[in-house]
Parts: sequence; structure tokens; C-alpha cells
Amino acid sequence: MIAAFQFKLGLLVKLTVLITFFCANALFAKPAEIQPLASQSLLTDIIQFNFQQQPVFIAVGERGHILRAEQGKTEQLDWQQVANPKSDMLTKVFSLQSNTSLVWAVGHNGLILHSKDAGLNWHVQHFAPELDKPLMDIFFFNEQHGVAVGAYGLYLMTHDGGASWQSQQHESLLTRDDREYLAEVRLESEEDYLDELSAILPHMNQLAFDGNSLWLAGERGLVATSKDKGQSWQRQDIEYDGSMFTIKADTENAHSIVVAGLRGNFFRTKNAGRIWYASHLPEPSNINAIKILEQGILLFTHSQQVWYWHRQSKRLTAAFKTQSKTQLGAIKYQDKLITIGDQGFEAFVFNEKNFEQAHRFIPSSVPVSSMQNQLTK
Amino acid sequence: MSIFSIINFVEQLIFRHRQFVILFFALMTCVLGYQASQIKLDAAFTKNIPLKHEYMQTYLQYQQDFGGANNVLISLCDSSGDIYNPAFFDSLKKVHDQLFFIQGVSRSSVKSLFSPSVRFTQVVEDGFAGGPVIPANFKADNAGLNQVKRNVELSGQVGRIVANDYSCAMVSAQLLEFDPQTGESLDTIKIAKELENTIRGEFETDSISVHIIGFAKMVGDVAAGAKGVILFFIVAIIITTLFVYYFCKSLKLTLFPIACSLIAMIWKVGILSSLGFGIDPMSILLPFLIFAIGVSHGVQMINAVVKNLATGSEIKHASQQAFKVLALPGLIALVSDCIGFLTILSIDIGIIKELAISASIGVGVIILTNLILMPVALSFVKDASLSRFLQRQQDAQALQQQQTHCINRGWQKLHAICKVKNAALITALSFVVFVVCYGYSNNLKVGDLHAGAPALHTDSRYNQDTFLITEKYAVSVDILSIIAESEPDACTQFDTMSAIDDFQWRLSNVEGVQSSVSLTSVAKIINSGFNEANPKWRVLSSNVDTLAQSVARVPTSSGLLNGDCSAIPIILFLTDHKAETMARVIDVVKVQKAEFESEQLTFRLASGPAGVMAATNEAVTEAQVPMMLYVYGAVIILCLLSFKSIKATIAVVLPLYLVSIMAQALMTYMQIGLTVYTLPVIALGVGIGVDYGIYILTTMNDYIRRGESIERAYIDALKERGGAVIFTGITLAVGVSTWLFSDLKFQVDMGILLTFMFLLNMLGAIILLPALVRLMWPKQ
Repeated sequence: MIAAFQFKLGLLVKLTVLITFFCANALFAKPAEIQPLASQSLLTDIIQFNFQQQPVFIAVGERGHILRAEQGKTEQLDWQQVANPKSDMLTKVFSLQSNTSLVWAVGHNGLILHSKDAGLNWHVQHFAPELDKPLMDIFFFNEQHGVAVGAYGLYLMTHDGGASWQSQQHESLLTRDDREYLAEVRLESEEDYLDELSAILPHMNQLAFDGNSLWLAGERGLVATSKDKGQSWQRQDIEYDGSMFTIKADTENAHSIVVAGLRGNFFRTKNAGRIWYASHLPEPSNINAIKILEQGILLFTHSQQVWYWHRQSKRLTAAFKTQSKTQLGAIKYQDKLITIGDQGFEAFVFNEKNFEQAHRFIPSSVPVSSMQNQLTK
Repeated sequence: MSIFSIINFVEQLIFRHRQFVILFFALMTCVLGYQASQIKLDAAFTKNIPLKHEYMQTYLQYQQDFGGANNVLISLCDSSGDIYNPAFFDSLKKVHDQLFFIQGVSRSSVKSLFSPSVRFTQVVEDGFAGGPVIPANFKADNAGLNQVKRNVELSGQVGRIVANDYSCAMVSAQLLEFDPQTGESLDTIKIAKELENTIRGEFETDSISVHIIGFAKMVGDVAAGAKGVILFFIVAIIITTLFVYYFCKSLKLTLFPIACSLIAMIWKVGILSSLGFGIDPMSILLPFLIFAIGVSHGVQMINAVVKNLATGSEIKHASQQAFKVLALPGLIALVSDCIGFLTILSIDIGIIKELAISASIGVGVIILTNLILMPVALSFVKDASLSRFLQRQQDAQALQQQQTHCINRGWQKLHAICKVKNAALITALSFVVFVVCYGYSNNLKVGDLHAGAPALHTDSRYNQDTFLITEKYAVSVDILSIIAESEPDACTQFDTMSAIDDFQWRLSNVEGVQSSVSLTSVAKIINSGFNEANPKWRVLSSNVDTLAQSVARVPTSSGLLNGDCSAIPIILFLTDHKAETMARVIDVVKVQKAEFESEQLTFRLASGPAGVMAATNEAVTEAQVPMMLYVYGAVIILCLLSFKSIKATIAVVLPLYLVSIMAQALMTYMQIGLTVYTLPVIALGVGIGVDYGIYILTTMNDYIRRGESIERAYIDALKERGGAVIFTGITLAVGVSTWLFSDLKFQVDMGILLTFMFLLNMLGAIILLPALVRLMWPKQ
């Protein structure tokens, strides 16, 4: 861990040196290519929302691929790749409400794309290749106020619908040890403190909104909440220092949150983080994404196996296997699940009812670790 | 008339020293017979490819770095559908070791689950964990196998050295070009035998099947299939002998053309062996042709001698006369055969060049054996021993008056061809056939049209193994590599790497590309590995150090980069090796590479087995037109020289051209592609096919000069030569049609085409040629 930390520190020093070097690189300006195999390449996120009361589906992925489909009469979705002025890998796509025309997507090199027509045409709101930092998620509270988070502490906020973005640094996302160390540095020099802060800030991987608070999951066990729309953050302790890649608000109640990540570890709370329940998959594969269903949760992993966690019985079941060797999420379409992964889209028939029967369950250790929520200041 | 004085001089010379001629031939046959027995099978990889082709220059330049196309893939499959059992792993280990110790295998390239270089990596809370997929302390028990199973999944080798469905595992290796002990070029056939005996023979059981593919194995199987040729050869000799006997009705006379042709064959093989050539599965077919050509010319000689004997001359005189009459047309016919073969030299592929040389030698030898040895040997036959034959023939003639009359009446009927109206009709009909076939032949495809090894039948073991391996693994065997060339350490430069990556993606989207891999695609996965295996980090970092960090973990033995990282291949796995598939991909490379190239970066075609095939296809395509020009040019010049008439030349060449086009239409119809095997056939067909026309027209010419009408001359020419021409056509067709039963697909293809061309050229000479003559000399 120390080695990793030092490595990142060194990298950042070099980064700053290289910033000017890469500023005017022509290659960054390349638009995404429209190619037939885009739907079979690595896709990183998929969403569904309504536009003019009609379901719209958008998936994003490597090389700036944006694929869009509308509810059709056919059994299969007719995915069409749409133009994107940038070819950097996209990591997340977000629609403002369940019925909207406003969509955002984020990606590598600090890219923020925006569409005002439900994903048909996209333009660049933010692009900073000189930083060499990817954005990992974006969230808008309303048409004006939004937050984008990414790696190496990249944290952006807008109050004008994305026309301008301001960078922020939140020391409160750090562990108590790190904050104590920074306080010592600050005593000596404010400049060193700022350098060290930007170097030490973790990767922020995903945001989730439970109706009241904004939640954040990230590197080295980072889970944090913000009650003031992203202005300030409180770190939560899940007593695990592996990275968390995904976080979702569960439908069980208003304060239910699921967060998951490295080596099959996932954590649940029903009371906004006062008590966390830790679980892990029988295989030590990373959990890349979560899909909340009516009676349970699907866990998409860095392997071919998709897992299903049944809310009532609290048991894990091997749900189905994908062709993709890493999976990144799913949406429901008619009676099918459309999953995404390194091989693009796949369709599966998945019925939760079939997973109620006890004989299908694989016993899994569900250690309930109860701990007092330590609100960090 | 100097040519006739030369012929007279030669006639005097050889017939005055008859004993000496016979002695010389006997001696030479002994010497060359010994040499022939020393001939080696030879099937070096480089012989099959156009070495001077642009792609092959790339291929040869990087062969050391990235391995050639000469590899061996051995797939072991467990009948239970699951490899994770102790017996399977035991066999896999043994096969790995066995392959390692086969002489000529590049030992560092042997790869399987048991190679220490096959490693897995996984991300744990405090960094990376990893090791060889099969640990040093591996025991084939439940725990050990479960651990290996888990490691295999982490190693990213599923679909590469382990089948997609875990029912098979692969051991692969590259072969060296030269034997490391002897320094001689590698004996491919010996390696194939070792693979068959020490690997398939040892390790194939009821529960484990062994599937072996690769160039060496293919050559081995082809060589094994080629042995069947000997049986066909014996059959062809027997049938031909029966034909000759039927034709000349004398066992004694039958022996002469057969013996002389066999001598020609022995000489040919002996000379080749003395010159240091070997015999390969393609050139093994040539003795058939030489034998058939020899017999057909020999029969012309017998025919002439018997005709002379019938007029009452004694045998020596009859032979001398036959030599005088036949020396010129025989020489022209054989020389044009010879030139037909030599034009094939224009194709820059070793195996075809050797074919051209050995065929030319063969035909050259026939000139000696059948035009010189045979009449001289015939002249030794005692008149007395033939008197019974002649008597019998006269009796038979009297008896078969009716029959002979019938035959003559048959010829007589053909004279209708020479009526202007019929001649025009035949010509018009031929023209229609030509137009139809020409249109059809435009669809003739270059290259191999079917999956698997084209030399072998679809249901052969080798091709079945190929299909199995292609199906079970994610990689196809039809690999096309494009080499990105840049300055040293190019792999740490984002611009270069990113351009390679973008080009690879562009190419991956071309129809016919199944999947692709390059240093960039691997570097992206490693980059995500450094970020806790999060797939959202599968990008090339624009930061030099981060990029270097990802690339540093890729060893040069992966074949994805050379030592100083100045050459990076983009490896494309194609769905098949049909010429149009490869051409489609290559066209995209040629047209679009400029978009990605820069001062530091160029892309070069091509390596990998499909690269070699593409180069071969291009060489064949390029050679097609010049070869036809040369072969027809040679035929036309020879005809002009011998007939001194443009019209006569046209009359001989047009039917030939019609048959060439019809043969191409037949190839299209039968889905036979234009390959290194079928391309020479067209030249052979023209070179040999011209004989018929020359024999018929020379004789007609004689009669016309004597003042006969065209019709009369035609009928007389048919009476004199028709039987022999038909006989020749059938003899040649019989000789090559036995190939139809061969185990080797290309021999079948060649057999079909040659049989077709020999028969149709014969018909062309008998039917279309006189019709054309009639039309061109309407008044005679």
C-alpha cells in the first residue's frame, strides 16, 4: 500500500511536468469512429429513461462509443451508434430524471459530454487531457447543479448546467491517519499541504443518490455521504480497505445502500450507514456493478459469473454466466436482462421467482459485522 | 530447306551408328537409373512461397522476432468434455516434453499450460499476486487441479491454450528453418512422421484424442497421400499398355513406346536428382505426364513405321523414313511443350519453378528417347518376326474390311465439316461457347476457396483437426500480421501506440476479421491490472511512465514486440483463408494505413500464414496474364516458323484458346481456385494441347501442297493421323485421370483440369481446326 502510494505521488509529480507537453496533442481531438463492432466492444455503462414517454436506452464504452436504442416492436433492441466528438473511453452515462431529454456522459481525460435531445447529439462540456485523469461518474440534482467525480481526487461541480465546472478538493474523503499527516504538513507549509493533498486524494469511482444524501464509493474502502448536495463530505468506515467500484441506493427503504468492490466484497446498510453488513462472493472476483431488482440484487463481476443476492433470504446464488469475461451492468428490457461487458451486449432471461427456491441457493458466508457508524469530521 | 538437310544429316548419323546409339542409351539409363534411386523427398516451407514478394520480405525480416508461419499446434481433447483430471494433465505434460525434444522444434517456443512463461496475475488488496499457471509443486489431485483451474481463468489463456469450453488444451511450438545439428534445411517430413508416431501414436487413447495441425504436419500428410500416386501410376501404365496394344495389335511393337517412355521417366528423375532437386508432392505427378507424352509420341512413330512396312519396305528403311517424317513435327510439338513448361518459370514460387524445370527436362528427354532411340531400336527388329504380324494384320484387314471401312467411313463423314456452311456453323457455335465461358471464367477466384488445408480433402484427418481447433479455440489458424515499424522504444510513445491501436480497431471491423491482438490491446488490459483490474482503466495512458509500466510486463517472447520495441505487429485472426477474405482485409490496410502513419510510424504487410497465402495469391494473380502471354507467344512463334502462314497459326491457336477459356469456366463451375497447383495446369494444357493441331495441320498441309482440296486433305490427314491423335488424347487423359482417385485434393483438381484440356484440345484439333481452315481458305 505504501508502495502504491509512493508510486502515485511520483506519478503526480511527473504529471505536472508533462501537463504542458500534452496540451496541444492532436490525437486527443479525434472523434469516435462509427464502427459495426462498437456494440461488441467493451461497454462500461448502460441506462434506461423515458423521453416523451418513450423508453430510451443508452450505453457507453471504450473509444468513445455511444450506442442508443429506442423502444421498438421487435424483441431485440436496435442499437445505433451515435456520433461523439471525442474518442476517449467513456465510463458512465447519466439521465437527469426518469423522464427527460438531458443526458450527460463522462470519460477519460476529464471528458464531460452533454446531450439535450435524449442522447442523439452530443457536445463537449469539459475536456482536460493535460490532467490525464479520468472522470468516473456524474450526477445532477437539477438542471443546473451537478457533480462529477474521478480518479486522483478529480472533483468537479457546476451550477450552470455544465457550462462551467469548478474543481474542488475534499480533505474529508481521507482517512483519519491521512488527515492527521496532512495537518502536520500544513503546519510547515501551506503549499506543500496543497501538493500533498492533491496527491493523496483517492480515486472516486461511483455516486449514488438516496433521495436525501449523495453517496460516494472509491479507492481503499472509501464510502462517504454528502447531505448538502456535494458541498461537503463525511467519510464512513466500512472496516475494509479494498477499493469500492460501485454503489447503489436499494429500494428496501429510503436509507438502504449497497456498495461493492474488490475481490467480491460487498456491504449493505439499511440505516444510512449506521450499521454495515459485510458479505463476499464465494469467488474473489471484483464486483464492477450492481443492478437493483424487486426482490434482490444482481452483482456483476470481473469474471463470467453473475451473482444474485436475495433480499429476504440474504442468500447468494450463481445466477448466470456471460460470454464477457468482465461485466459492467445491465438493464431490463421486456422479459430479458441486457447485460454489458467486454464483449458488448448480451441478453438473458432472468426471472427472480426461480431463485426463491431454497435448492438453488449456494450457501455463502454472510458474516454480519455490526459496527457503530463512525462519522468523521 | 536447311532444316531438312539437318534432319537428313542426323538420320544418316544415327542410323549409321545404330549399335553405338543403343549402347549409349543403355549406359546412360544405368547411370541415371542409379541417380534416380537416390532422389529425396523435399518439401521445404520456403519453396512454397514467393520469396521476392513484398510481403515475404517483411515476413523474412521479422521471422526471428515474431516467429514464422511454420508452427505446430497440438490439441489434446478429453472425451469427457473436461480437461481437469489427472490422466489428462499427465498426458499433456508428456506431450509438452515430447515436443520439446523433437529435433527441429524451437525449444523456447514450446508453449502449453506447463510452460513457466504461462502465468496468471490477480489483483489482491495490497497489489498483484501471480505465478505460473501450473505451480512447481503441482500434484494432479483435486486440490491441485482446482487451483490450476482457477489460475487458468485468471491467466487469460482460455481460448488460446485452453479450449473455450475447457474440453481441450494446446501445446504449440515454432519450427526452425534449419536443423540445429546438421545445419541443413529442416526435414519437414521427418518431423511430421515424429509428430504422428511419437505424439499421436503414443498419447491418443480412448479418452484423449490428439489433434495436430501446422505446415509440417500438413506436408507430412500430403507426402503420405502422395504415396498413393504409385498405385495410380501402375494402373495408368497397364491401361496405357492395353491401349497401345489395341492400337498396334503387336505385343512386340507395344513394348517399344512403353519402354522408351519409361526410360524417359528414369532419365528425368535421374537428371533431377543429379542436379540436386528433390521430389515434392506436386512434382511427383510429372512422371505421369512425361510417360503419357512419351507414349503418345511413340505411338505416332509406331504408326508411321507400320504404315511404311505396309507399303512393303523393310524395317530399317521403314524406321528411317518414319524418323524423317516425324522428326520435324515431333520436334516442334515437343519443343512447344517444353516452352509451355518453361513459361511457368515466370512465377516466382520455388515449387512452381522446380515444376517448370523438371517438366522441361522430362520433355527434352522424350525428344531423345522417342525421336532417336525408338526408331533406331525399331530398326533392329527382325523383319521375319514382324512378318507374322504383318501377315496377320493383312488378314485382319481383309477380315475387318468392313470394320476398317466403317472407320474410314466415319472419317469420311467428318469431311462435312469442311463444307463452308458447316464450317461457319461450327465456328459460330464455338464462338457462342467462347463468349459464355469467357463471361463465366471472369468469376474465377484466386486462392483456396475452401476452409482447411487446400491440398487435402475436407474429410481428411488433418482438415478435421483444423476444424476442431478453429471451433474449440478463440484463435483461428488463419493469421495475418501487419507490422508497425517505428523508432526504438516506440511502445512508450503515446502517439505511436494510440495510432496502432486505432488502426487495429479499424481493421477489426473489416468483415472477415474474427478477432485481433497487438501490444496495445494487451497493454490496455495490463493498465487496468495496475488499477485493481477495473475495466474502466483499459486505456493507453498518455503518460510515458504509466505506458512504459504497462508495456514492460509484456515479454518479447509473446511475439507482440521485438527487442527494442521498434516493431509491433497487429495480429489479425481471420475467419478463413479464402482469397477474397484476405484481399478484402489487405485492401483496407493498403488504402487506410496512410491515415495512421506518420514520420515515426509505418505499417508493413504482412506476416503470418495468411500473409504468406496472400502473397502467394498476389504472385499467382500477377503471373497469370504474363504466363498466358508467354505460353501463347511461344506457341504462335513455333507455328509461324513451321507453317510460315498466319492463317495456319490462327487455325491452330484459336481452338487452344477456346479450350483454355473453357477450362477456366470449368474451374469456376467446380469451385477450383487459381492456385500454385492449378496455375501451371493451364500452361501445361496449352503446351501439350498444341501437339494435336500441329500433327493434323502438318499432314493436311502436305496433302494440300500436293494439290488436294481441303476436304480431301483433311480426310487423308485424318486417315493418316486421326487414329493416332485420338489415341494420344485418350492416352494422356487416361494417364492423368487416375489422379481423380488421389487422397490429395490438388491432385484431383489437376487431374480434372488436365483430363478436360487433353480431351477437348483433341476435339478442337479434329473439329474446329479444319472448320477454321475451310473458312480462311474458302477457295481451295
